Amino acid sequence: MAALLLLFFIANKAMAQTRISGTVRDSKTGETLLAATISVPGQNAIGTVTNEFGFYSLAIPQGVSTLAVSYTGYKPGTIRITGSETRYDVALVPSQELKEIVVKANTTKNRLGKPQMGMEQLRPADIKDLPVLFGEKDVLKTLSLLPGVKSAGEGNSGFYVRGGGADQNLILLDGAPVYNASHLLGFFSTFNSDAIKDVTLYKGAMPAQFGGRLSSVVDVHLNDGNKKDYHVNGGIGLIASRLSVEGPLGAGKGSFLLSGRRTYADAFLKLSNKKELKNNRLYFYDLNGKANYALGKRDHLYVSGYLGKDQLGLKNEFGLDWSNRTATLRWNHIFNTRLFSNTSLIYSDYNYNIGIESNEVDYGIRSEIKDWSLKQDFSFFSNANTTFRFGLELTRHTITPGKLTDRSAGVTFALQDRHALEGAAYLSHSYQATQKLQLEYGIRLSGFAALGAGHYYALDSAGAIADTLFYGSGAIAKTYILPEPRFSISYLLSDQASVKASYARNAQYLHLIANSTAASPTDKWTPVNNIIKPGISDQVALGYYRSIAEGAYEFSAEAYYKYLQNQVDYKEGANVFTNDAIETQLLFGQGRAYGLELLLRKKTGKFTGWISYTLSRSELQIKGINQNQWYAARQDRTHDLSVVGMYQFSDKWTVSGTFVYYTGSAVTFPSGKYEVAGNTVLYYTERNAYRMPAYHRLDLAATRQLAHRKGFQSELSIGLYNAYGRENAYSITFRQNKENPGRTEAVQTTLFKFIPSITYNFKF
Amino acid sequence: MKRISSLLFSLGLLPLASCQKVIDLDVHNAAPQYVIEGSITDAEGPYYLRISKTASLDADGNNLPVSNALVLLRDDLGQTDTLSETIPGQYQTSHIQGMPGHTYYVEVSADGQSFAAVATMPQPVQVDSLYLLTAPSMGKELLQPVAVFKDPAGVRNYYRLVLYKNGVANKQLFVIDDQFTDGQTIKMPLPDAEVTYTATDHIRVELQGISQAMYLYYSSLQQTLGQSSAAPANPVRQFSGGNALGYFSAHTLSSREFVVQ
Repeated sequence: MAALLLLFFIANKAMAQTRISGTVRDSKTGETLLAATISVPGQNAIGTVTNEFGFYSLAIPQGVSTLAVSYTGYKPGTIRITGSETRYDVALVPSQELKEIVVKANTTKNRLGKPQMGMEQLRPADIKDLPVLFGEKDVLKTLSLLPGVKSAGEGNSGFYVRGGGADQNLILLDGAPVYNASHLLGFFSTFNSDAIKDVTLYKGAMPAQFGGRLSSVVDVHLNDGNKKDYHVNGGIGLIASRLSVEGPLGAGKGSFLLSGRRTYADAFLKLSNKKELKNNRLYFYDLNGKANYALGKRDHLYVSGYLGKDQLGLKNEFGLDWSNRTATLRWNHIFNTRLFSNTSLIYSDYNYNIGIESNEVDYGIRSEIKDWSLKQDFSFFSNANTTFRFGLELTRHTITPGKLTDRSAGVTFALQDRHALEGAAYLSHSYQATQKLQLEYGIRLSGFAALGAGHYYALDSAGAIADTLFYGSGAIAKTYILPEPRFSISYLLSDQASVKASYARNAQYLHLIANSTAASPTDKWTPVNNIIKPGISDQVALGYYRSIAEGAYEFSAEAYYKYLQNQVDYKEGANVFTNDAIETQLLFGQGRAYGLELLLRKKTGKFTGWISYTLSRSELQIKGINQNQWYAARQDRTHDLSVVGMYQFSDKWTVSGTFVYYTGSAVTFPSGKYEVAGNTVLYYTERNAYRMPAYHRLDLAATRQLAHRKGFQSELSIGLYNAYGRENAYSITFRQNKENPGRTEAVQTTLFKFIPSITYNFKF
Repeated sequence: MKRISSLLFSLGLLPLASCQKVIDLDVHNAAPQYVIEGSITDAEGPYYLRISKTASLDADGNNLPVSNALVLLRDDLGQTDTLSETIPGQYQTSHIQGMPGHTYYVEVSADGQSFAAVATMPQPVQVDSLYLLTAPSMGKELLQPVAVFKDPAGVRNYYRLVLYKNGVANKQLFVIDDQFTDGQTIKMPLPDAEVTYTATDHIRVELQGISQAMYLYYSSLQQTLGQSSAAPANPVRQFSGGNALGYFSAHTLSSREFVVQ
C-alpha cells in the first residue's frame, strides 16, 4: 500500500506540471462563456474547454508561460502565467465584426479531437438574423435546420431527433425539465431568445450526467445578466413583443436578468367584424428571471425561474390554458484547481386547465405534473490527461392525470394521482490516451420506483383488468434499475480531420400518451409501472469530421443506428382521456431508426451558413398493429434538406434566407369506404403505408441597423415566411363531394402562405 | 376532447391564414370486406339487417349489397328467426320480438364465410321531454333540440340519440354514458351548425338504450369519422368468425316529437 502511494506521488511529481483554473467571461457583460477553448500555442495535445458555468481546469507543463483563449465571436485572449498563481480568470472582448474572426486552429482541433459526437451548439447571435415565422426568433425551431432533427411541422409542437418520438427529448432550462416546450400549439417555443445564452443539442452519446429520455437532450442556458451596466433591450413585432432588463447586483459580485414576452394575436381578432371571432382569447406570455451572486472566490449562487402561460378561449364557452413553471437554485463550489462541484435544487410544474361552460354543462378539467429534484455533480480534474465527472440525482414526480369538476352539480371525478421516484448515479471518465486518441466513457445507473398511494392493475391475456392492487402512501408498487453505459472515442487523422465512434444506452421512465394528429397540450405524461415498462434505446454512431481552409469551413458526416425497446402505441378506438386504467388501452413493441447525416458549414466571411442533409428511416413493430409487421413510424421522413445562408451586405444591412425541403411523413390513408349509421366511413388496412406530399419552402429576411451609438442601438427586421407560397399539406382528410354525395374526395389543408413579419428591436 | 383541434381552428387564428383544396390521391384499394349493420329493439318488429361490401375509395356510392346470405337471429328463450331478403342486401325478421334484459345471437353466412355476434338488450329508459333552445355552440348562437331523460342510478347506462328533422335522420352520432351523471336527470343538447329550424318543421328524437359494446363501437366510430387520430383505425370489431365491419345492436327505444311553432 505504501509502495503504491509512493509510486503515485512520484508519478505525479515526475510530470512536473502546474494546474491552473478559472472562469472565462465576456468582458462587456460579465456573462460566463460555455465551451471556450484554452490551449497552449504550439502544443496541440494540451487544451481544454470551459464547462457550462464557464469554469476550466488545465494541467500545463513547466516552462509554459502563455496560453491562448478563444471563442467564436470574440477577439482571442491570452493568459500569462505569473509566479505560483493558479487562478486565472479571463475576460474576452466581443468582436464587432461578428463574422470576420478567423477561428483559431486550436479551437477547431479541439472540437475535432473531442470524443463527443452528435452534438450541436447554437447561440442566439448565430441565428439572430435568420427568418422565422411571425418574426419571433426561436432557437428551438432553428434546431430543426440541423441534420438529424426534424420539426413536427407547422401547427405542431415538438420535434423528432434521429427518428425518435416527440416525447423522447429532454429539454432543460438551466437544469429544470420543461414538459411542454411550445406556445400556441407549436407556433412559438417557450424560449425567449433574449434571455438565452446558448443551446446545446445532444443527438446521441449523451454524457453520463444526462438521462431520462431516449433520443436527445436540449440543454438551454439562460444569460446571467450584465455584471457591469444596466441595459434594457426589447422588440416590438406584429404578433408579439418582448422586453428584457438586466444589470449588476452588489457592486460587481453578481447580476440579474428579467425577460418577458407577450403575444397579442387576439387583439387582431377583436378588430374582426365576424361575431364569432370577436370574443376569442388567444395569447401567451412568458417570463424568465435569473440572478447570480458570488459569495467569495470559490462559491457562486444562481437562481433561475421561468413562468409561461397560454390562454385559448372561445368567449365564455370554452377555455383552455396551460402553463409551465420552473425554478432552479444552484450552488457552484470550487474546492481547488482540481475539484469543481455544482449542487442544484430544481422545481418544475406543467399543468393545463380546460373549462367548458355551454348549454347545460359547466365542467372544469385539470391535469398536472410536478417535479422536485436534487442534483449533485462533481468534476475532478485528476491529471493532465484525465477528468472524472460523477454525481447523483433524485426526482420526485407527482402526476395528476385528470381531475374533472362538474361545477353545476358540485361533483368531482378524478383519475388517481400517480407518485414516483426517479434517480440516477453516474461516473464518467475523459481520457487523452495518446496525442491522437481520446476516450470518454462512463456509466449511468438509473432507477425508478412507482409508488402509492394508488391502485395498480393486473391484466389478463386479453388486456382486460384481472385484478386491482392497492398500495398505501409511499409504498413501492414496482421498481426498475437500469445500467446505461456510455462510450465515445475519437481519433485525429491529422490536424484537420478526425473519426469518432460511440455507443450509448438510455432509459426513459415517463411516456407521453397522446392520440391525435396535432400533439396537443392535453397529452398526458404517464410513469412506468408494473405493466408499462421503461423505454430503452441503444445507439451506435460513427462519424467523420473535417475542417477546411483553416477552419473557414467545417464538414461532418455521421451515421447512426438506434434500437428501441418497450415502445408504446394505442389499441383501435383507444380512450386515453377518461380511462384510469390506461394500461388497457396500450400496445407494446420495439422500434429501430438509422440514418446518415451530412453537414457543411461556412463560419467566416461576409457570407456564412450551412447545408444539412439527412437520409433516414424510423420504424416500429407493435404487437397488435399492422398484423405485427414492421411499419414506418409517423415521423419517418426519408430525405431532409436545409440550406441556410446569411450575408452581411454592408455595415447596416444583413440579408438571410432558409430553404427547407423534406419528403413527406408516413401517414395512414383509407383503402375503401362503406356506409354505417347513416355515415360514409373510411376503411383502413395498413398503418402508415402512404406518404404526405413533399414539403418545401423558402423564407427570406432582411435586417437594417438604424441607430448604432453608445447608449442606444436599434434595428428593423422584415421577413417573409414561405416566400413563394408553396401549399404545403398540413393535413389530408376525406369528405363526400357536396354536389355528388356518392363521391369521396381528398382535401388538403395548408396553413401558411406568404406570411410577412416586421420587428423593431432596440437596446439601451 | 377529440374535437380540440377543430375547436382551435375555429378560434380564428388559423382560418385567417389557411386554405383548402381538393387533390388527387393514388390509393391502393383493398379487397372488399363484408359490412353488416343490424339491430333488434324493444319496439314491435320487424327488425332489419343489411349486408354489403366495402367499395373502393374512388367509387360512386358506398356499398355493394350482398344477396342470398343466410341470416339467423336467435334469442335466449330458444326462438330462432330466419331473415328473408326483401330488398337486395336488406334482410328482415318475421316473428321474433325483442325484449329488455334478453340476449340475442345473430349468424350470417355469405359466400362461404360466417360471422356471428351477440348483444344483450339493457333495461328501457324513457325520454321525458324535448324542447328547442338557443345556446352558444362553437362560438355561434345555435337553435338546437334538447332531450331530457332520467338516468337510472346504480347501473352503468349507455345511450345513443338519433335526431330526425322532417323524417330525415341527422348524420351526427350523439353517444354518451353516465360515468359522471349516474342517477341524474340528463339534458342532452343535439347541436348541428348546418341545420336550421323553421316553423312547421317536425322534430323527433329517439333515445336508444345501448349496450357497453355498442357504446365502445360508436365511440371508436366517432374517432374514425373525426379523422383527427394520429393512427386512424377501424371501429372496434363487433363480429367474430371473419373480418366484418359494422355492428349488431340490441337496444331499447323511446322517442318524443313535436312541430316547431
